[in-house]
Amino acid sequence: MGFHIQMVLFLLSFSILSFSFSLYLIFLLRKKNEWWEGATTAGLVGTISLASGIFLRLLFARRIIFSSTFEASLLLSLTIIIIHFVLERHYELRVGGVILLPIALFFLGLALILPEKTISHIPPTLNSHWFFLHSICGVIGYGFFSIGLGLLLLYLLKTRTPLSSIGLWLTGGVALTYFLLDSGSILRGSYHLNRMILHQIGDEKRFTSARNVFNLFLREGYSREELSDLLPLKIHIPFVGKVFLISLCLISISFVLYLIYFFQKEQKLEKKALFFARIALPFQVIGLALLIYQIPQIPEVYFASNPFEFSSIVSSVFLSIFFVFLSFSYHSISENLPEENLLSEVSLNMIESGFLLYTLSLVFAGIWRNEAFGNYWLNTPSEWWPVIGWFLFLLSLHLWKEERKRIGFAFLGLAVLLYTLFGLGIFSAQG
Amino acid sequence: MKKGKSSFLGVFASRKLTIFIVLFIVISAILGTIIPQEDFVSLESIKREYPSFLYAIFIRIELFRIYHSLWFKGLFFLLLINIIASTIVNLPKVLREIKPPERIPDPENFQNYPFSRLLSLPNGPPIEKMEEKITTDFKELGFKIKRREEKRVLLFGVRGRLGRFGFLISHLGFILLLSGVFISSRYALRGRISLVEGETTSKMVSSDGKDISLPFSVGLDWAKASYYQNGMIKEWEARAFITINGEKTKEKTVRTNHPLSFRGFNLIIDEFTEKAETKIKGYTLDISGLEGENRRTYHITKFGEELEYPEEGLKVVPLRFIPDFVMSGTTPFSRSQELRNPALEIEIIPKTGEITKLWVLAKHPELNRLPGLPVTFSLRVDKKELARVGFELVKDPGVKIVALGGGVISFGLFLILLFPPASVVALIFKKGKQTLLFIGGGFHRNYFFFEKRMAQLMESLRVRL
Repeated sequence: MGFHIQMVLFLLSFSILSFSFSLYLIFLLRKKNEWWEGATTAGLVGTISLASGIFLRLLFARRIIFSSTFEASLLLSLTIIIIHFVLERHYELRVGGVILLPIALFFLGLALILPEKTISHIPPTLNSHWFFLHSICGVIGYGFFSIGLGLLLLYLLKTRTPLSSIGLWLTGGVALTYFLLDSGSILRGSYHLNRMILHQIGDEKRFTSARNVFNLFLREGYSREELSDLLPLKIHIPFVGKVFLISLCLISISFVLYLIYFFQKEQKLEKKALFFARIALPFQVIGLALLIYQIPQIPEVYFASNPFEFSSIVSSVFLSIFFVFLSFSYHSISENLPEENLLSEVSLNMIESGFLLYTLSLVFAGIWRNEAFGNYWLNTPSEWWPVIGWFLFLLSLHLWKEERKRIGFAFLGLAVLLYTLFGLGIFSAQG
Repeated sequence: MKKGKSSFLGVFASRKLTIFIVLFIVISAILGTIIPQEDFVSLESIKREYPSFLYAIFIRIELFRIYHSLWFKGLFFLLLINIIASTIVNLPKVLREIKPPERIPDPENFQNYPFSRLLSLPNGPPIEKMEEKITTDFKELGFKIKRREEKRVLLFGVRGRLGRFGFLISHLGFILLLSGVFISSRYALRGRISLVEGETTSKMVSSDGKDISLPFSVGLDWAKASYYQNGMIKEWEARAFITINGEKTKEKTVRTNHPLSFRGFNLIIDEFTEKAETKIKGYTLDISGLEGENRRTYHITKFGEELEYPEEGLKVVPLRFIPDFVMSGTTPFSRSQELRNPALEIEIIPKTGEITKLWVLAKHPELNRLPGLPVTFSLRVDKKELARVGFELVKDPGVKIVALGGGVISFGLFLILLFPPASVVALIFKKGKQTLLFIGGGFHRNYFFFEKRMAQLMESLRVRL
């Protein structure tokens, strides 16, 4: 019963926050305070709902340690929203919700489609004050970083970064995501547990990341035999593969045109690139809609069968929507954003705060590891990736006078930290 | 010593070098997570995965052991030098910035401040009055004001001094941290100890399988595990103790995350097997009449002691025990060390008559009697299931330095964040009939906010004066 109440609260907060986001978007375009007031009120209701859900979960679990990716994602989402409201009040950053709420919604959405949501007992090694401090500081630090990066994005829009540059990065990112997703066979119209498992069973390739995916499912309670039985299972989802393949082609053409434009600076090329990016959008939306419509009708699979792939598709489609939306109203959006110096400085403050918390999180992790296992460091990816992220943010902070480089390193840093939080267990060669 | 950018120290202190080294470290560390490392995978299996020429190149440049390679360690050494050099170069600059200028500067030099404004006040108020107003305004902005006068009046204020030292403190923390890591890698001693309840050892086994003698002994009294309702492990507990020359010096119930610390060593529980071994505590021998009457129970802990059975005037002496009794011809022996067929040999001394011997079998009581003897025997083995605990024993003198380094870095960052450094100057002087006021400010962070507040301040001064 308690579990269902929590889930209802989380779903409710997702819906209300999505509504709040749309109101923020209208406020950005119309600049009328009524829209902002509505957005803030809805946002507050969504936040209370989310906070209550988290509180209930901790109450039922009888612990305050956030031990799973599900719980970490929820806390991260809540952190981002709370900081957003603080910024809104303190700096009068009223349009912050346009970028910060989608980031919070991304983490909340990812949490909601993760397969493992039940309250589980924590292993004895995690039952430590140091681990608690490590996880809390880490997740809140991630929140600050995400907000800093979100504001930097607004800064890029405010400083009228050429649409072609934004297009180059976004189409490149979306095309790369679809290309990588081919390994998950979505583009071939199939949605199964993971192609990588097939590799592992088939020829026992030692260094594929399959081992980790395989272990992940073993940990979920599947037996080796059950997994072997499962392997021939390929769920064909009609039309989805073809639609996404068309999307990939169109978005790749757009990317290539933007790339050529980057060197040749011919207006025609930019127009064509934008045209292809725009016509790719309906195909992507249709593909996603088909996926969302058809998956519940196939009993063998559900969204959570492959949460990371699914959330990557959703993110890519939303990035494309964002870009096309931007291409129609870039000027008015840019006009209505706060002053660029304000965005730049608040983002720097956010990244610095995140860096402090993240540093503390690493220190606590070392102390915890030393008490639990007798060493504060092992040369495994689990240790190195968080430190790589730390180094990238360190570079970003050392380059505070060079705006573009600072932004570049901060983006890289956040990408690495997200990989550390969500992808490390699955894709690492030695994880 | 020349401390310009061109100097030797300047080259090592450069920010470009920092960025280059850190980028190199980042790329190398990423490679180490992608390319299989011999810490986790044997070189033989790596060799099978790579073409031979690539394998040979990778071996030569130590790509299969990146984190242990000399060049990777060299990068960190270079970073250490870079941090030390940058601290030395920047320290005088920081000290200079938080002090008021030694000489009152010319108004032209105020243009060097990131924020500078000139206010010209024809028929302005007396300098003293202006001074008072500006001092009040600066104080409201959180600045501590110092005054100097040499024809002109100079007001100088600094805030966030601590923040200016933040980066120096963070650098110091990083130096400490790297030193700690170096000490750990050179002087850390670690090994494993595996003990069954009741056992003691003065040796540990290193990761390469070598025995290392300890200056003390580690013993285990008892160990237990507790479980959640679904059978998942909740906690391990082990009562461990340290003895020196047979004397118990320290004891503690070691739990997960709660090690026993002794003379720089940490004893950490990291493995637990609940029923690892069975230990015989003693034997219970029952003697009774043939119909089970007059039963007497004897607890045997020592062989050779006489037990009296007064009802029949018998004496019984336990001689030896065999856990898995088998007869080979007329010779008894134990097939294994497991308690499959436990048997106790006893000597029976009757009141009168011949002394005889008998094997009392725990699992076949019907055989435990002798012709002509009016008694029967039964045997129970008193046993206990013993747990085995795996301990990690570590002495790492670098740990505290690393933790301190991490703490100092965080403290430095905290200062930077909480006390953003800023300075303001105001120069008031008369030029003809005009009173001129220069106001300048330098802000390391939050320029946007300071600029706004300073502009507001100027506007308010202009209106009031």
